[in-house]
Amino acid sequence: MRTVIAPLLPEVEAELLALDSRLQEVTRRYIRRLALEPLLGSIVPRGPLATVGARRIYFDRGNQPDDLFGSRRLPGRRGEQDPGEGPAWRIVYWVAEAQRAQTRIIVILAVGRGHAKPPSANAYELATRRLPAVARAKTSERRRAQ
Amino acid sequence: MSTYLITGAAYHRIMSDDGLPHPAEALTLSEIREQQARVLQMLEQGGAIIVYSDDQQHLFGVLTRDRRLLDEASIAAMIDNGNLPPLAELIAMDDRGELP
Repeated sequence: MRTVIAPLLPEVEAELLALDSRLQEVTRRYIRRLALEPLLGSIVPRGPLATVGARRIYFDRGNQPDDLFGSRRLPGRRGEQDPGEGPAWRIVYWVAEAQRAQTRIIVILAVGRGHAKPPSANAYELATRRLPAVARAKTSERRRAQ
Repeated sequence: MSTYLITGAAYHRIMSDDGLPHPAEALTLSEIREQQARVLQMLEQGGAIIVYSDDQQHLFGVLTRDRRLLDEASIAAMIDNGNLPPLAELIAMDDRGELP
C-alpha cells in the first residue's frame, strides 16, 4: 500500500510558519517521515479525534526525526513528572486507507502545543475543530459535476 | 472440572465469526435522533444502523464506523468538496515530489 501526505491545510501551513526555524524543520521532517512510518504517532485515546483513529506525535526542538532506529532518542516524560516537562509540541494527524486504490492518505490536522493557556487552543482542540471541516464543502466545486 | 451454562443467544454472540456487524438494527431518521445515545453506543460496539426515511419508503443507507468504509467515505468526501485532489492526481503529485 502506498502512503501519501495530503497537501497541508492552509491553517496548518500557517501554524508551521509561526514556529521558529528549528521547530519548523523538526516538524517538516516528522511529516515526511510519516510517509515511511504512517503509524509512528500514538493513537489519541479520547474525544472526537479518537473516534476516527487520529494520532499524535510528541516532539520538541531537540528531537531527531531522521533517527529511525531511536539510537539518539531523547528521554520521554516519566509518569511522576509534570505534563509540562515532556515534549511541548504535537503533530496531530489522521490516517485513512482507500483499500481499492491501495493508497493510504495522511492528513495533518494541526501542529501546535500539547498544552496551551486559554484563549490559545492546543493542538488537539485545533485538530478537533478541523476534523468535520475537512470533509465538508469549502467550495462549490464538485468532482462529479465536472 | 467447572462447567458454565450460557443461553443460546449468548453462545451464538460469543461464537459468531461471520464478519457481520453486531448489533445491527433498522431505524428511521427520527428514531435515530430520539435514541441518539443508544445509537452511538451501538456504533461504538462495532454495530450498524440501516437508515430509513421517517415514512420508511426510502432507504438512505447504512450508518457504520467500519474503519474501511469510514476511511473511504471520508476520503471521497474530501475529494468531492475540493479539500483533497483526486487520488490519481495526488499520486502524480507525490511522484513529482510536490507533497510535504
